[in-house]
Amino acid sequence: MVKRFGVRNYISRNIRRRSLRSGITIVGISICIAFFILFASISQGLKDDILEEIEERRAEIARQRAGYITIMNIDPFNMDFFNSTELEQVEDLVEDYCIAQNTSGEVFPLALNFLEPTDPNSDAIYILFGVDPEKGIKYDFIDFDAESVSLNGTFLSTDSERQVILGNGLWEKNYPASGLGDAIDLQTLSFVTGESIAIENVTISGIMDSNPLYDQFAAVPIEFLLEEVGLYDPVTGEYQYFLASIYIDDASKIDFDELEAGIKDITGISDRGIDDNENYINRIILEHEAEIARQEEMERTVNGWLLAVILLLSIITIVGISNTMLMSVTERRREIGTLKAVGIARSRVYQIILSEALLLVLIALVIGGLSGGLISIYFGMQYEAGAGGLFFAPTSLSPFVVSYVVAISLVVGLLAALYPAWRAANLNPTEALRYE
Amino acid sequence: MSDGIVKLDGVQKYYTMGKVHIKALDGVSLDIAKGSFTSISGPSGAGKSTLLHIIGCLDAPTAGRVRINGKDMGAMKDTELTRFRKRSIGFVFQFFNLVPTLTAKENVLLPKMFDRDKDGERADRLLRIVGMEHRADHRPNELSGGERQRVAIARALINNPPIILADEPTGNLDSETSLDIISLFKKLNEGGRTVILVTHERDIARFADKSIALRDGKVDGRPSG
Ligand SMILES: Nc1ncnc2c1ncn2[C@@H]1O[C@H](COP(=O)(O)OP(=O)(O)OP(=O)(O)O)[C@@H](O)[C@H]1O
Ligand SMILES: [Mg+2]
Repeated sequence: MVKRFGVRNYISRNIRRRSLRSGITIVGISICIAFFILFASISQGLKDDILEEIEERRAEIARQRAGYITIMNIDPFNMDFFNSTELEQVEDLVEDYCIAQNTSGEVFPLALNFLEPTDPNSDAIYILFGVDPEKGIKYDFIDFDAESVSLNGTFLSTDSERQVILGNGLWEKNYPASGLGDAIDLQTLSFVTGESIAIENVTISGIMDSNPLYDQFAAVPIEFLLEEVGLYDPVTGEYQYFLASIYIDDASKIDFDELEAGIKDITGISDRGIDDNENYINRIILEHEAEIARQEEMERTVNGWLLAVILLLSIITIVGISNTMLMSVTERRREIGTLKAVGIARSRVYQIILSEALLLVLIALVIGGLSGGLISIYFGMQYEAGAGGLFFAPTSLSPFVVSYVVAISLVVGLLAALYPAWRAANLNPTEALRYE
Repeated sequence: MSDGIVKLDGVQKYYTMGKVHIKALDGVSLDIAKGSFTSISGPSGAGKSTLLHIIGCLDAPTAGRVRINGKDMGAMKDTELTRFRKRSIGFVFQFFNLVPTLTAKENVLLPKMFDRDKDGERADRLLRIVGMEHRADHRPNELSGGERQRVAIARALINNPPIILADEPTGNLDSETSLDIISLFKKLNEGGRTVILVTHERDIARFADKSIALRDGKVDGRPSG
């Protein structure tokens, strides 16, 4: 007794009847699909990487828009450090733009770098500033505010190489057991660039009287400070500008033109390098944004390549399937004529040819899908393992990639079979049956 | 002859090949009675196959009217014609036209490929009627010409059509086998089916109630029988 016979048996027999040709076609489509999977997963992998980087950049921009930022460079040797009017005016100007700032009044434009508080929960910021030993700190301080500033200890002078004068609060908190003449480590200096450096073994040569204004200060000779933080080269005698930093909530609130004009107006420091600094944040943000645009461009390029690959593979697949199905239809003219003669409808003839093509694609999907999947996993592993180079690339076999490969393959298979199916369905049965 | 199951009225079929017009059928009028056995004969190129295809709704005439069972075929759409052909007409061809990948029984069931009721029992019964039940599971290439034609006849009967059209069904068979096949048609005819059979052979024509001779696309002389 024969199994029940239906259209499925008929279709699978047709595939098997021309097993060599079907096999070759399946191998061809499988290779296409394997490549398709590989390229799709690579492009997805690349895109994932790019997107991740773009995300990081965006976070960077967000950080730039809020936090400690540098708004200008100050030439420490030309700045009138202790001119309170000038400094206060700068602070007032900056305050318009700032919710909080790391400067405190008079010391704002000094060589500002931060000593992190020993207690991480403390909001206190230690400010280290350089003092010009040529002039001597006593002179400057006295000149600055003779009444309120007094120093306990010696003054800094030209030969005060590794000397430090500590604010009273800073001293009590960080170096309680120490006294004048003791060698101490200064805290790690943090820079806006994220670099940090520890100044070791400086001798306490002075401790300021308790005074809320200076409690958190530490003063060292300016060359020493510059040298320690790597901004001064004693051999060539060249120095870089100091960075003055302020904390702001939103960089977009800063009107740089106005700020620059204001600072110039107050200090007359047009010769103090401020030109370098205008739009510092904006420049950084613009750089980042350009980088994001570049990445997005790259993502589009990856997409474009993938599209080209899809097109190419689709064309190869279409040619392969069309050719196979056309040959099959031509070869079976008489048989198809017979089908029509015995009352199989045109739409059913379409169905038969399309199903045969689909069956080919399905088999190829299994073979090509598995091998392509394995290859792309291998590629991904090699890439992760650092084999990298020109050949291996990051891959991502996400369900999305798999499903669009499957969908496109099926659609392409159906498209390819459309013309042969049309030929079969519109075959004139009388002509097909006429000749042997 | 009011009970004519197949009525042709001035049927013409022209083929145009470049500037040459071929009149495959040139005004054929016929009236074939229900339950009759008609043979169509004539020289090669007379238009026999063309006529059979037009009766079988495989082809439309260039001019003229075809009525089967009282229905005007010219008025039917393609899908209707297909359905009509499936229900009403069984075709048998000179070259059997069996599907080589399918067994005898599967070939018989071919017209029912898309149907929900595959009716395997009916296929078995038909194979028994044509004397092929013992070869039900054999492929066509394992069968002789006569056996193949028996399978093809069973296939023509699977939808129980009232009309059987056969285009030189014995053209590829030796005379003894031909007689077997013809008697099979005769048996079907005796069972009530209308049989229209194209043949070159005079021997076969004598089984028919009525013979139509075609020549150059026209009915030649008066019908005999
Ligand atoms: N599709 C076609 N295009 C052109 N001419 C055709 C076509 N089909 C049939 N003919 C011509 O119509 C005429 C009738 O052909 P048909 O096949 O009906 O003859 P026949 O009587 O069946 O011949 P045979 O006994 O050889 O089978 C022939 O001259 C044939 O060449
Ligand atoms: Mg013929």
